[in-house]
Amino acid sequence: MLPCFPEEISAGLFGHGDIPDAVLGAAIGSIAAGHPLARYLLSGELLSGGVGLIAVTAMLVTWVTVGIVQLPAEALMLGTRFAVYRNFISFCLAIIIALLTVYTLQLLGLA
Amino acid sequence: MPKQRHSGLGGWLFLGIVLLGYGLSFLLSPEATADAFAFFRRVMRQMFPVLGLVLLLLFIANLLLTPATVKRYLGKKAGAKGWIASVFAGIFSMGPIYAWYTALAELQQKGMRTAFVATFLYSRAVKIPLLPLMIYYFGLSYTIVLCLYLIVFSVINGFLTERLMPHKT
Repeated sequence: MLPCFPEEISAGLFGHGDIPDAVLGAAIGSIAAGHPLARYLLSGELLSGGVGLIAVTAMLVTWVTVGIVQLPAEALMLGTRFAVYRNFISFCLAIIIALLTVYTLQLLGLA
Repeated sequence: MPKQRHSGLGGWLFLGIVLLGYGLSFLLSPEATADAFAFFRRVMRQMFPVLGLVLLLLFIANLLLTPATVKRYLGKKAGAKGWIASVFAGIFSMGPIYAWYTALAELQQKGMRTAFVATFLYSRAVKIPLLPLMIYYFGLSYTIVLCLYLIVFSVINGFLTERLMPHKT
Protein backbone atom coordinates (compact mmCIF):
# COMPACT_ATOMS: atom_id res chain seq x y z
CA MET A 1 0.00 0.00 0.00
CA LEU A 2 2.72 2.43 1.01
CA PRO A 3 4.52 2.62 -2.38
CA CYS A 4 1.22 3.77 -3.90
CA PHE A 5 1.11 7.03 -1.96
CA PRO A 6 2.96 9.31 -4.39
CA GLU A 7 0.49 8.41 -7.15
CA GLU A 8 -2.44 8.92 -4.81
CA ILE A 9 -1.12 12.37 -3.87
CA SER A 10 -0.77 13.39 -7.49
CA ALA A 11 -4.30 12.12 -8.06
CA GLY A 12 -5.46 14.80 -5.62
CA LEU A 13 -6.49 12.62 -2.73
CA PHE A 14 -5.47 15.29 -0.23
CA GLY A 15 -6.05 19.02 -0.25
CA HIS A 16 -9.83 19.16 0.17
CA GLY A 17 -9.92 21.08 3.45
CA ASP A 18 -8.53 20.63 6.93
CA ILE A 19 -11.08 18.16 8.29
CA PRO A 20 -11.31 15.85 5.23
CA ASP A 21 -7.51 15.81 5.08
CA ALA A 22 -7.29 14.99 8.80
CA VAL A 23 -9.85 12.18 8.45
CA LEU A 24 -8.03 10.72 5.44
CA GLY A 25 -4.64 11.00 7.13
CA ALA A 26 -6.05 9.36 10.26
CA ALA A 27 -7.58 6.56 8.16
CA ILE A 28 -4.26 5.84 6.44
CA GLY A 29 -2.42 5.80 9.77
CA SER A 30 -5.04 3.44 11.24
CA ILE A 31 -4.49 0.73 8.66
CA ALA A 32 -0.74 1.23 8.37
CA ALA A 33 1.43 -1.24 10.24
CA GLY A 34 5.13 -1.36 10.74
CA HIS A 35 7.97 0.08 12.74
CA PRO A 36 7.28 3.59 14.09
CA LEU A 37 10.46 4.67 12.31
CA ALA A 38 8.65 4.12 9.01
CA ARG A 39 5.95 6.63 9.94
CA TYR A 40 8.48 9.47 10.10
CA LEU A 41 10.02 8.50 6.79
CA LEU A 42 6.63 8.27 5.11
CA SER A 43 5.45 11.49 6.75
CA GLY A 44 8.53 13.31 5.50
CA GLU A 45 7.84 12.02 1.99
CA LEU A 46 4.20 13.07 2.18
CA LEU A 47 5.13 16.56 3.40
CA SER A 48 7.65 17.02 0.62
CA GLY A 49 5.00 15.68 -1.80
CA GLY A 50 2.74 18.57 -0.88
CA VAL A 51 0.43 16.98 1.68
CA GLY A 52 -0.63 19.34 4.46
CA LEU A 53 0.68 19.18 8.01
CA ILE A 54 -2.78 18.41 9.43
CA ALA A 55 -3.14 15.23 7.35
CA VAL A 56 0.41 14.16 8.13
CA THR A 57 -0.07 14.79 11.86
CA ALA A 58 -3.30 12.79 11.92
CA MET A 59 -1.49 9.92 10.20
CA LEU A 60 1.44 10.12 12.62
CA VAL A 61 -0.88 9.90 15.62
CA THR A 62 -3.14 7.09 14.40
CA TRP A 63 -0.15 5.05 13.19
CA VAL A 64 0.58 4.24 16.83
CA THR A 65 -2.68 4.88 18.66
CA VAL A 66 -5.10 3.09 16.31
CA GLY A 67 -4.43 -0.43 15.12
CA ILE A 68 -6.87 -2.01 12.70
CA VAL A 69 -4.31 -4.75 11.96
CA GLN A 70 -3.76 -5.38 15.68
CA LEU A 71 -7.47 -5.13 16.56
CA PRO A 72 -8.13 -8.92 16.70
CA ALA A 73 -5.17 -9.42 19.06
CA GLU A 74 -6.18 -6.47 21.23
CA ALA A 75 -9.78 -7.72 21.34
CA LEU A 76 -8.60 -11.21 22.27
CA MET A 77 -6.42 -10.01 25.15
CA LEU A 78 -8.28 -6.97 26.46
CA GLY A 79 -11.85 -7.57 25.30
CA THR A 80 -13.69 -6.75 22.08
CA ARG A 81 -15.70 -3.87 23.51
CA PHE A 82 -12.60 -2.25 25.00
CA ALA A 83 -10.62 -2.64 21.76
CA VAL A 84 -13.38 -1.24 19.55
CA TYR A 85 -14.19 1.71 21.84
CA ARG A 86 -10.52 2.56 22.44
CA ASN A 87 -9.64 2.50 18.74
CA PHE A 88 -12.70 4.54 17.77
CA ILE A 89 -11.99 7.19 20.44
CA SER A 90 -8.30 7.22 19.47
CA PHE A 91 -9.25 7.82 15.84
CA CYS A 92 -11.49 10.79 16.73
CA LEU A 93 -8.93 12.25 19.13
CA ALA A 94 -6.18 11.99 16.50
CA ILE A 95 -8.19 14.28 14.21
CA ILE A 96 -8.64 16.79 17.06
CA ILE A 97 -4.93 16.59 17.96
CA ALA A 98 -3.91 17.17 14.33
CA LEU A 99 -6.11 20.26 14.06
CA LEU A 100 -5.07 21.60 17.48
CA THR A 101 -1.35 21.06 16.84
CA VAL A 102 -1.32 22.94 13.56
CA TYR A 103 -3.64 25.70 14.79
CA THR A 104 -1.52 26.14 17.94
CA LEU A 105 1.65 26.45 15.85
CA GLN A 106 -0.08 28.97 13.59
CA LEU A 107 -1.31 30.91 16.61
CA LEU A 108 2.21 31.03 18.02
CA GLY A 109 3.56 32.05 14.62
CA LEU A 110 5.64 28.86 14.36
CA ALA A 111 4.03 27.28 11.31
CA MET B 1 -7.89 -13.58 44.72
CA PRO B 2 -7.98 -12.42 41.10
CA LYS B 3 -10.58 -14.03 38.94
CA GLN B 4 -9.09 -16.81 36.79
CA ARG B 5 -9.33 -16.13 33.05
CA HIS B 6 -11.55 -18.59 31.23
CA SER B 7 -9.46 -20.37 28.62
CA GLY B 8 -11.87 -21.23 25.82
CA LEU B 9 -11.32 -22.11 22.20
CA GLY B 10 -11.10 -18.44 21.11
CA GLY B 11 -7.31 -18.50 20.72
CA TRP B 12 -7.32 -21.68 18.62
CA LEU B 13 -10.19 -20.36 16.52
CA PHE B 14 -8.25 -17.13 15.92
CA LEU B 15 -5.15 -19.12 14.91
CA GLY B 16 -7.27 -21.26 12.58
CA ILE B 17 -8.78 -18.18 10.89
CA VAL B 18 -5.32 -16.66 10.41
CA LEU B 19 -3.97 -19.90 8.88
CA LEU B 20 -7.03 -20.18 6.66
CA GLY B 21 -6.51 -16.55 5.57
CA TYR B 22 -2.90 -17.29 4.68
CA GLY B 23 -3.95 -20.42 2.77
CA LEU B 24 -6.63 -18.62 0.76
CA SER B 25 -4.41 -15.64 -0.03
CA PHE B 26 -1.65 -18.02 -1.15
CA LEU B 27 -4.06 -19.53 -3.68
CA LEU B 28 -5.05 -16.07 -4.93
CA SER B 29 -1.67 -14.33 -4.84
CA PRO B 30 1.44 -16.29 -3.79
CA GLU B 31 3.68 -13.17 -4.07
CA ALA B 32 1.50 -11.06 -1.77
CA THR B 33 1.31 -13.98 0.69
CA ALA B 34 5.11 -14.29 0.66
CA ASP B 35 5.36 -10.53 1.40
CA ALA B 36 2.85 -10.88 4.23
CA PHE B 37 4.74 -13.84 5.65
CA ALA B 38 8.02 -11.90 5.45
CA PHE B 39 6.34 -9.06 7.36
CA PHE B 40 5.09 -11.57 9.96
CA ARG B 41 8.62 -12.98 10.40
CA ARG B 42 10.05 -9.47 10.79
CA VAL B 43 7.47 -8.60 13.46
CA MET B 44 8.14 -11.88 15.28
CA ARG B 45 11.89 -11.22 15.23
CA GLN B 46 11.26 -7.79 16.76
CA MET B 47 8.76 -9.15 19.23
CA PHE B 48 10.57 -12.13 20.72
CA PRO B 49 13.26 -10.18 22.63
CA VAL B 50 10.62 -7.80 23.96
CA LEU B 51 8.28 -10.68 24.75
CA GLY B 52 11.12 -12.22 26.75
CA LEU B 53 11.48 -8.97 28.70
CA VAL B 54 7.73 -8.79 29.21
CA LEU B 55 7.60 -12.40 30.47
CA LEU B 56 10.44 -11.62 32.89
CA LEU B 57 8.61 -8.51 34.09
CA LEU B 58 5.43 -10.57 34.45
CA PHE B 59 7.31 -13.14 36.50
CA ILE B 60 8.72 -10.42 38.78
CA ALA B 61 5.33 -8.72 38.92
CA ASN B 62 3.67 -11.99 39.92
CA LEU B 63 6.21 -12.38 42.71
CA LEU B 64 6.11 -8.81 43.98
CA LEU B 65 2.80 -7.31 42.91
CA THR B 66 -0.20 -8.43 44.82
CA PRO B 67 -3.66 -7.46 43.62
CA ALA B 68 -3.79 -5.07 46.60
CA THR B 69 -0.62 -3.27 45.41
CA VAL B 70 -1.87 -2.98 41.82
CA LYS B 71 -5.21 -1.69 43.06
CA ARG B 72 -3.45 0.91 45.23
CA TYR B 73 -1.27 2.32 42.42
CA LEU B 74 -3.30 1.55 39.29
CA GLY B 75 -6.73 0.78 40.66
CA LYS B 76 -9.93 2.80 41.03
CA LYS B 77 -8.56 4.81 43.94
CA ALA B 78 -5.07 5.44 42.54
CA GLY B 79 -5.93 9.06 41.67
CA ALA B 80 -3.37 11.36 40.02
CA LYS B 81 -0.43 9.01 40.56
CA GLY B 82 -2.24 6.32 38.58
CA TRP B 83 -2.68 8.66 35.60
CA ILE B 84 0.94 9.82 35.79
CA ALA B 85 2.23 6.25 36.13
CA SER B 86 0.24 5.00 33.14
CA VAL B 87 1.28 7.96 30.94
CA PHE B 88 4.98 7.53 31.72
CA ALA B 89 4.82 3.74 31.48
CA GLY B 90 3.32 4.12 27.99
CA ILE B 91 5.96 6.65 26.92
CA PHE B 92 8.84 4.48 28.09
CA SER B 93 7.40 1.14 26.92
CA MET B 94 9.33 -0.37 24.04
CA GLY B 95 8.77 -2.93 21.33
CA PRO B 96 5.72 -4.13 19.40
CA ILE B 97 2.33 -3.57 20.98
CA TYR B 98 1.41 -7.28 20.83
CA ALA B 99 3.79 -8.06 23.66
CA TRP B 100 2.18 -5.44 25.89
CA TYR B 101 -1.39 -6.70 25.47
CA THR B 102 -0.47 -9.76 27.55
CA ALA B 103 1.10 -7.67 30.31
CA LEU B 104 -1.85 -5.27 30.40
CA ALA B 105 -4.39 -8.12 30.45
CA GLU B 106 -2.49 -9.61 33.40
CA LEU B 107 -2.44 -6.28 35.25
CA GLN B 108 -6.13 -5.81 34.54
CA GLN B 109 -6.79 -9.19 36.16
CA LYS B 110 -4.99 -7.85 39.22
CA GLY B 111 -7.15 -4.74 39.35
CA MET B 112 -5.65 -2.19 36.94
CA ARG B 113 -8.21 0.41 35.98
CA THR B 114 -9.51 0.30 32.38
CA ALA B 115 -8.78 4.01 31.95
CA PHE B 116 -5.12 3.45 32.76
CA VAL B 117 -4.85 0.63 30.19
CA ALA B 118 -6.21 2.95 27.48
CA THR B 119 -3.98 5.81 28.65
CA PHE B 120 -0.92 3.54 28.52
CA LEU B 121 -1.76 2.45 24.96
CA TYR B 122 -2.29 6.05 23.78
CA SER B 123 0.79 7.57 25.39
CA ARG B 124 2.91 5.03 23.47
CA ALA B 125 2.61 7.51 20.59
CA VAL B 126 5.34 9.55 22.31
CA LYS B 127 8.53 7.67 21.46
CA ILE B 128 11.53 9.09 23.29
CA PRO B 129 14.18 7.28 21.16
CA LEU B 130 12.57 8.55 17.95
CA LEU B 131 12.20 12.18 19.04
CA PRO B 132 15.43 13.28 17.28
CA LEU B 133 14.03 11.94 14.00
CA MET B 134 10.75 13.77 14.59
CA ILE B 135 12.62 17.00 15.32
CA TYR B 136 14.68 16.49 12.15
CA TYR B 137 11.57 16.13 9.96
CA PHE B 138 9.15 18.52 11.67
CA GLY B 139 11.15 20.86 13.89
CA LEU B 140 11.43 21.32 17.64
CA SER B 141 8.31 23.48 18.08
CA TYR B 142 6.08 20.97 16.29
CA THR B 143 7.53 18.08 18.28
CA ILE B 144 6.98 19.81 21.64
CA VAL B 145 3.42 20.90 20.82
CA LEU B 146 2.41 17.48 19.44
CA CYS B 147 3.95 15.57 22.35
CA LEU B 148 2.21 17.79 24.89
CA TYR B 149 -1.14 17.25 23.17
CA LEU B 150 -0.50 13.49 23.00
CA ILE B 151 0.13 13.35 26.75
CA VAL B 152 -2.98 15.40 27.58
CA PHE B 153 -5.15 13.42 25.15
CA SER B 154 -3.87 10.09 26.42
CA VAL B 155 -5.57 10.93 29.72
CA ILE B 156 -8.74 12.06 27.89
CA ASN B 157 -8.66 8.81 25.88
CA GLY B 158 -8.42 6.76 29.07
CA PHE B 159 -11.25 8.69 30.69
CA LEU B 160 -13.57 8.39 27.67
CA THR B 161 -12.84 4.70 27.06
CA GLU B 162 -13.61 3.87 30.68
CA ARG B 163 -16.80 5.93 30.60
CA LEU B 164 -18.05 3.93 27.60
CA MET B 165 -17.27 0.57 29.15
CA PRO B 166 -20.08 -1.09 31.08
CA HIS B 167 -19.66 -0.80 34.84
CA LYS B 168 -18.82 -4.06 36.60
CA THR B 169 -20.88 -4.85 39.66
